[in-house]
Amino acid sequence: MDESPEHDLVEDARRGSREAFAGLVRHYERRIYGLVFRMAGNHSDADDLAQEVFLTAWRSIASFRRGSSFYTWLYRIAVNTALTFLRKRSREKDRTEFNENLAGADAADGAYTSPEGSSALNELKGRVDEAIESLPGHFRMSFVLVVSQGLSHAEAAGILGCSENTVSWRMHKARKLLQARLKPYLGEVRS
Amino acid sequence: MRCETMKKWLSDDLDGALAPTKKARLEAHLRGCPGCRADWACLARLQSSAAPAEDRSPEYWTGFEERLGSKLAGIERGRRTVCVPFSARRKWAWAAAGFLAIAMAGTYFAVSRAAGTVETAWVSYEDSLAPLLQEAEANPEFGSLVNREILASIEELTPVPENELTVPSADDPLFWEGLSEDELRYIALELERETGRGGLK
Repeated sequence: MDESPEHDLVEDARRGSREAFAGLVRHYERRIYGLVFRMAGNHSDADDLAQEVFLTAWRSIASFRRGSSFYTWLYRIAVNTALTFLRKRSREKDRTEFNENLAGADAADGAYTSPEGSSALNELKGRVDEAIESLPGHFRMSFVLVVSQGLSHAEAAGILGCSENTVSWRMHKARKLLQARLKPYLGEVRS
Repeated sequence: MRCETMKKWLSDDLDGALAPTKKARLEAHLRGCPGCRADWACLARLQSSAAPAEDRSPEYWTGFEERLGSKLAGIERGRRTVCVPFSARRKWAWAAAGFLAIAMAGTYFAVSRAAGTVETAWVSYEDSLAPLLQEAEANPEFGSLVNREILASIEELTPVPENELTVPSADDPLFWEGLSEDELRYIALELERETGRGGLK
């Protein structure tokens, strides 16, 4: 089933074949999971979101237009699902905004005071994950699509429904925000 | 200002989105700017630390697909067994609601109209006769007047027997106007015979 061309799988799935859709799920589940995990920040929510993405895709696959890219269409569903989840969670938990002073406050708690040492790499990865999670929604989505998912600016722009320049600008701003937050771990930030 | 532009280009370069001509200028700038070189090292470290999350176990993916498969089957079952009856049920609900509304409206008008008639008759009777009778009981003079009026109205409404009907006399002008031509000719002949005068010309 997985060896069938994607086009055939999509066409069969549009006609109601759950087997064909299962082939598409197997092909994209890791990438979709990686995307929503980066947005949700934990495996429990990522699992729920990934399931929701594929359920939404199954419900609306009849509306998928032939000739367009299935993975772009699926990524759009994932992006919308993840952003909706973030907005909902933001309302519920009143999450704190990204602020550049947070890094200083975190540095005082002692757990991550020294990026040097044997566990420095793991500590840095944990800090980077936290910092990415605290980025504003659209910055985070652009960053995850380009850095974590390895998409080009053009592909990310197609999924997000914006221009390549917008993606480029968001990436630049996201990096500046991350640099500011991770200053003690990445080095001095020069303006 | 120049360094700010370079930082933007640095970001594009890390994403592989920098045009070759700009890339050459960026590399030239980095060679002469220690600050931007430090930024480049910092961003490269950030890039490598933001790598995709580690893949989950094969067992997890098997479970993921099984759970998703059962949900998809549930959606299909739901479409077959829930959606169609719900739509039919909704039609019946609308029909029942419409029938109920019409029945309630009809009942309301019927009751309100009937109640209005009874109430009007009762109020009219109470308003007209009851105070008069009460006053008549209290005032004998007024009571006799009421009695006469009541008797007079009864007499007016009572049919007059035929033997008590009055016969119009010749003095009544209406008597002559009510006669036909034949009756007038007959009267004229009788008068001529009795008196020897008159008669028809």
